[in-house]
Amino acid sequence: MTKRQSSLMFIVSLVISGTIFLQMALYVISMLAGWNVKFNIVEVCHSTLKAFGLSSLEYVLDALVIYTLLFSLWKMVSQLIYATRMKKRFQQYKEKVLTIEMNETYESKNEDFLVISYPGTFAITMGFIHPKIIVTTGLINLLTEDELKAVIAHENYHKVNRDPLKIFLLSLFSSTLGYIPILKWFNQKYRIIQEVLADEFAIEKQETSVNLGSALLKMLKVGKLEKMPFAYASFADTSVNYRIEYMLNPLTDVQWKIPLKDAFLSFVIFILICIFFIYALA
Amino acid sequence: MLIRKFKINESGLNRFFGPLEAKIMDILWNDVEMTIKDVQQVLDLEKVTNFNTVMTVMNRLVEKGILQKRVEGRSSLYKPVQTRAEFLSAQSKEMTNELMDEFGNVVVSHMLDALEDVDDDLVAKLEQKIKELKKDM
Repeated sequence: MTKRQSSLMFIVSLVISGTIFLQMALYVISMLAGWNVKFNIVEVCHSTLKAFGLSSLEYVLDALVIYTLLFSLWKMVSQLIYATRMKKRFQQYKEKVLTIEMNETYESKNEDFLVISYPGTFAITMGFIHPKIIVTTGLINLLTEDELKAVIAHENYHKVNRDPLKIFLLSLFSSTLGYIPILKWFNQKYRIIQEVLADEFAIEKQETSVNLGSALLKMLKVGKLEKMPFAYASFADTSVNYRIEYMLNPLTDVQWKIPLKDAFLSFVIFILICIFFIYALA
Repeated sequence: MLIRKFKINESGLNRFFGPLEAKIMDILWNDVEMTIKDVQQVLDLEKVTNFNTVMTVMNRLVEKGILQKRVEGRSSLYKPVQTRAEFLSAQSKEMTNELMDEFGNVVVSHMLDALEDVDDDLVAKLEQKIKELKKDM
């Protein structure tokens, strides 16, 4: 898998979901503002249902639109609340001296790094607009300097690539637009590809896989020993095995077969939506 | 035994206990079993402390499940339910779980995901490879 393929996956998801969301949003706005937006897909669906004598289904369609938009809004608001709470918590745990040291070491002017005084051994990247890398003192104590550099390089890839935002969007699309099944597949695979690409970046930067591999092994062992609930993230699929395979043989390309049934179903549903749209515009 | 009021800005045992509670726990973790009088005498070496105050605090720790009380003859003996290491490990695990539960709802990118799905054979192969690479370095 390459960065281009991963970007393509993200863009396709964005286009599919964006088209549907835009239509739904326009429909709701037109309803609320009393506009007569004839080119709107939901409006066209209404007319078609009426033409087939299924006007009672209009309410189902309205319910679907309202449910999708409200569910999306709820997901966004709850994400914002949790992220704010988490940020506050991290500030309380902040290890001031080590945070300054790490920002100086990595020449970060915007305080991109935050070291927290915490026994758990993890490094994460969070934040949508200005992502930050959070490292625990537990991890610093566990790893050697070079291993830590490898982990930071891995996280830095996520930061530069704005993965927290992209992952959130994909997760939002796949959960709110469940009737487009391929979005779920994109969401799962995109996360795995990004992890492998972040490893690839860290290995290239250090010109060896020793440090990253060794760090991964240590974190896996400690994680298992402490029974740390790392499965907390809603990762339906695990990327660790793909990442180990990549480290064992960097020439092995991670390849997946697109689930044809899901892809076909998604294609048909999306095309139907587009046909309605084009028909309405014509 | 979960400490509900975790004090983030404090350090050491003061993160989990009040100042006198922390001192009492520190004393009891250094001994086997002690009476209230024994504890009070040790506390007095640093600062004179009222017997009733020590008794109230120690009985509160029993109620919280942190100390256990045993009657022998006319005196009551107190000892911690867990060793210091067990207590700190349990609390730090609890804190981590709490933090991770909150994480569950926040989208982040992180080094490791679902650990239970890790293929042990692959881990063994990676271990072998890292060993070989380290030898060559």
